[in-house]
Amino acid sequence: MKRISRLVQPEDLRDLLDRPPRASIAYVRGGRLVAAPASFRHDGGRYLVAPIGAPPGAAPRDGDTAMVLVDDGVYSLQLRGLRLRGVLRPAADAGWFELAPEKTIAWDYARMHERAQP
Amino acid sequence: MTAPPRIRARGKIARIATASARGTPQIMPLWWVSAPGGRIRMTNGATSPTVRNIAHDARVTVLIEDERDGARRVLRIEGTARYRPGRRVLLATLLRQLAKYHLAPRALAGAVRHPRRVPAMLRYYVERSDSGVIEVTPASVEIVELG
Repeated sequence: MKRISRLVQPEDLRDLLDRPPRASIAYVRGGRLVAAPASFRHDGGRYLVAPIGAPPGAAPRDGDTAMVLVDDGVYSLQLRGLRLRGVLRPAADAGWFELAPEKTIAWDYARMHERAQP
Repeated sequence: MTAPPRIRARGKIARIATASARGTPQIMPLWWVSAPGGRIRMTNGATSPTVRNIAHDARVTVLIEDERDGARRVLRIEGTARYRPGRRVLLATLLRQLAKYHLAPRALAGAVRHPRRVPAMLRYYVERSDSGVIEVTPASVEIVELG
């Protein structure tokens, strides 16, 4: 059986990774769910992220599992983005982390296509 | 009981964060509409990770962009969520989404520019008609300045 899918490969959204209009991050720290807007850079295949305005005492730490969302668009045919889930490791720049992705999901509503259900 | 803080934001995408039973974070972008009592509503599939997470832990954080006097900022809304599968609340939410997202001039312009993409888009939504409503009751709202 086939259904319409919006999923694409991360490489299909290279322009979004290189020039992200916005990014967000979610992680769990001390049993508390934290979400914040974030700065994001895609640098030579590495994903670098820096939370903006994390609540006091709730900044992410080395080894935290996080999900980073990079998305764009408002209306149906504009919607596209990536969600990257992985572990945070401190990067060279203060306040920045490198996310080693364990799972990546990318979508683009302008590229909807038929796909066989698994 | 104090009323939830009223959410006023110009951003049209709500980024809702949840945590799984194992503490794995999840964040995804959804359309949102205001609801009675200061709540906000989003539609989502019954089997989505976000809905499954809410069933385990109702605490959520929602990020919505805003802009005031040329300054960009994000509202960080912490609250609790529940999933409402009923047809009545779904229909009410979909009607509000229709006005806000599908009938907006820019949305219609996109469909006119790319008419061949419209059938696939409509089929996509029909195939996912098992959706329900995530209803968030805000407990606090914080402004994060983006500079």
